[in-house]
Amino acid sequence: MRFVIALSLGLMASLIMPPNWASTLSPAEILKQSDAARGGGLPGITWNIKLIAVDGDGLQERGLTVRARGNDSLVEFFQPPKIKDQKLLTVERNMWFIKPGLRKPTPISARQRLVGQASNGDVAATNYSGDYQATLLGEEVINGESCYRLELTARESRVTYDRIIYWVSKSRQVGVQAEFYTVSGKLFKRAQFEYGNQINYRGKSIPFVSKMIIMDEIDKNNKTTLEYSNIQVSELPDQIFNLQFLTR
Amino acid sequence: MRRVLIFIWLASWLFPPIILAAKLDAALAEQGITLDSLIRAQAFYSRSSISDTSFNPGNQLARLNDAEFIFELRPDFSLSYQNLEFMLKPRFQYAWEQIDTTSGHFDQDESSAYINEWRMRLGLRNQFFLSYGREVLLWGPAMLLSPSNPFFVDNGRSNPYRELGGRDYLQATYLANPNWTFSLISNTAQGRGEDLGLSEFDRTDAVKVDYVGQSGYGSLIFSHQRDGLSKMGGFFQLTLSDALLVYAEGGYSQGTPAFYPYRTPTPPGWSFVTDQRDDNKLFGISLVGLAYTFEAGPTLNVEFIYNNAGYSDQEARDYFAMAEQLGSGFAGSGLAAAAPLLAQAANPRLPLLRRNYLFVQLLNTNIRNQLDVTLRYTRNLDDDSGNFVSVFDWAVNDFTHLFALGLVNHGDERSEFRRYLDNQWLIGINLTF
Repeated sequence: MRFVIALSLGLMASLIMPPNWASTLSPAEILKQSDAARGGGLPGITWNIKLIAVDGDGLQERGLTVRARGNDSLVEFFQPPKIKDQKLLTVERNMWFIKPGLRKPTPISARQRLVGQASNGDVAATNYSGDYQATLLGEEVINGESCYRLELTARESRVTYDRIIYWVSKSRQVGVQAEFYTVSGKLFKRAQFEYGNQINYRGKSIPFVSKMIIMDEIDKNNKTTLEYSNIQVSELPDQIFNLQFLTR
Repeated sequence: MRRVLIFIWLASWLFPPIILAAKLDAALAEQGITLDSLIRAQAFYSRSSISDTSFNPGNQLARLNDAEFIFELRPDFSLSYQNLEFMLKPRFQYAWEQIDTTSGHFDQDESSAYINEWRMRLGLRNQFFLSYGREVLLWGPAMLLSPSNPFFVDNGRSNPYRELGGRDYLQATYLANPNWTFSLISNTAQGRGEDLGLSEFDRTDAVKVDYVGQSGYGSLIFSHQRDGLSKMGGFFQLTLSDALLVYAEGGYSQGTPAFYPYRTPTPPGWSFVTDQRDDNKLFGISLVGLAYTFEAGPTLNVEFIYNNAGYSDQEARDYFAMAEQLGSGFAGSGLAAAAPLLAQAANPRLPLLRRNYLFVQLLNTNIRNQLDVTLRYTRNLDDDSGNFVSVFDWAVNDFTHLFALGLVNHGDERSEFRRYLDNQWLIGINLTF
């Protein structure tokens, strides 16, 4: 009888109290939850990105399709025509770039920038929970929203960024802002995220990133915007991420 | 005027495929068929300074062009329906060249249409794939050449504006899991692959095993050429940091098909023979390299290459002495005897003539959002000759690239890189639709 009363009180309390999912989650779990809204941890996801980079040399626009699964991703450029059919394949920490007409895939490193301030890692699915160790630094209000402030330190030297300060919304479970630091501890990029998209995964509708704005902290004139659209969650076969199937 | 008309006629080929592809794309999508197309047009003009050496006296033997203009239409099509994929790359080319030799000046042009690559591929359960067609199969991390590849040692990087010719392959591929891939590859015909006219095509069969791990990948390739040698090759690459990659690649065979020079008492005084073909020793090329990307953007590749089938100092002295003796005869009365040996000397079946090489490449892309620059330098450490190539690719707008390539060979008269060409430059334009 006492068990039934306790259960009833517990259920009532859960209905009355505001959701505070993070209070029971570790920093690593908070990070893992937020990854899903940026493509991490899903069985396969496809999206289009309109990338607009502005710097002292003018404005560049790129259209690209990203297919991602776990740590693997395939980026295919479709706009403008001069870069059409260029591809970037990432399998775990291995990356290759291929241009039409040059049949041999070129191995590249994560540091090689894609365009503007966006690195190769920025356009692919986010797997911060796999790549970084998370520590909870505290709480802050960002744009009127209560957020957890996490410090992410690279588990190994192979990742794109050595250290990230990441703000995750307490109510929406999504990353809303990030600061990227060099090995020497210098802040060199800042990013903001918007979540205007929704995806359905395991019967749940979860928010999905719709815009990422990357600002260069060294040259404040440089700004890169990534707009996400046509998001589809579906299993992707191995051949998509196999180097031998990269050329056509 | 005639050239301009030919140019216009060829250009007119460009538009029907664009319109057709655009119209078909939407209609086919409704039927579950995906059609992709990429239409490119490229034209370039090049000038070359031909070395006047014993290997090609007065340019009478190799007859290399000193000026060239090539216009190409390069449409690429791919079509997929369920588990079936089809790829087609027809080419339309107009080529003009000017050849200067001591015996005369020649000016010639030619228009041609051909299929450089095509492939039909059938997939079963996303794991088994069977394909046949004409392709350029390239692999490996090395930038200078691909010693592990029994089909294409040249990886096409020294001049990215000339397409490598496709060869005909039958392939079966099994994707065991995301990490392991097993392939059976049979090169059934020469296709448009390089034909130096020095030997008949022999079918080559290969087994290729690929592994991709968390921070590296590698491959082993076993191949056998009918009536030829068996070869074992392989490569691997490791990602050591976000900026540093290290890699190695090699290809080896028991015995070597390379030609070696020997003095003979009978005319023409030299023989050039493949006397180490049946040798039990392992011959081949070993390459180790690294790639480092600087914070500012450029990527530096450094490679060291050891080619144990290459000529020793004595063999190199004999090789150049043979060419000098035969070359002097070529200019005089010994034409018949000298020509076959000098022709063979041009291709002694050694991708690299000597044993030790250093290769350095600096690549900087998207400079001021428009310019890609590649600087490549290959140094023969045995004879101190070198080959410097610079490639500039400028994206003028969303459709147009202008490009320029400069090549300079240096070395003395008895050096590898100055046997045929002193320098070359090329300028061109590439349009993508």
